[in-house]
Amino acid sequence: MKVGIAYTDDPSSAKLWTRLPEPVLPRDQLDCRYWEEVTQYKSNIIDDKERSLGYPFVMFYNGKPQAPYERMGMAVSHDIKTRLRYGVEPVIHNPRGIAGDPQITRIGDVWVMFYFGAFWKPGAFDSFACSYDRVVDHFYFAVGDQRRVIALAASKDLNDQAKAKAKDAVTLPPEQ
Amino acid sequence: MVYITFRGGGYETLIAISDDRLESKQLGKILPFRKDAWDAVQSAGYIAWQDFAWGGSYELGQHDGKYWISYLVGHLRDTSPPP
Repeated sequence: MKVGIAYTDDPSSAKLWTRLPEPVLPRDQLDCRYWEEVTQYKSNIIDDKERSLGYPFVMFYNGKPQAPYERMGMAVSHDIKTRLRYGVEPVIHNPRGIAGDPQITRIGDVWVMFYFGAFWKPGAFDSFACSYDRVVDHFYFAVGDQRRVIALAASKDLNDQAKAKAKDAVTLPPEQ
Repeated sequence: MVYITFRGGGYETLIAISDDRLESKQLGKILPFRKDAWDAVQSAGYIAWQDFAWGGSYELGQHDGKYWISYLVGHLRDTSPPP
């Protein structure tokens, strides 16, 4: 898998987004890094207003090498379309298992990356990493015994409200 | 809310709206699979250029007068489902 880019002039409707003709960061480029040799996964592009790396577009993404783990690294761009790999090593590198699906936020002076981890401890779990020099509600991906869902973690208890809504909920057939 | 679904071996990107975050109405696909293209089986979008300050506006930023998304693409069922 690779990373593609698309755009729209109306992000609030179900109109199809327009895709750029080619994926960015092809893996046959000479500067392809070992940790993305096999595949590239989820990306998160942010607008670094401080240009702390010299670029407005900074992208974090996870990749997989010829080994059973995933790590996350960075790419940068001046125009979002032409992407340059930044550095050689990953920025999140756990000894084993998966570190994937980065989502960046900034809390005060701290850069925080939420991501999902798996297999360096049992199962899969939400995790985060912090940095001072780099660079609410939180929707997260959950795995239950019935199906995969989108869950909502909130800073106040919404359970009573949610239970009232659930009375009217429709149950879908199991995922194929 | 822009979100992805996993069906038939790959991810696709859709949009839903909600007044209260507890109940959402699905509007449809914004990055569906494209037959015989490099995103025939994987097309999982993640909004780009959004205000990422914790407790901030979370507004979508524009570049060249457009809104942008990066997405995971693939034409093979080569991703294992998430754990």
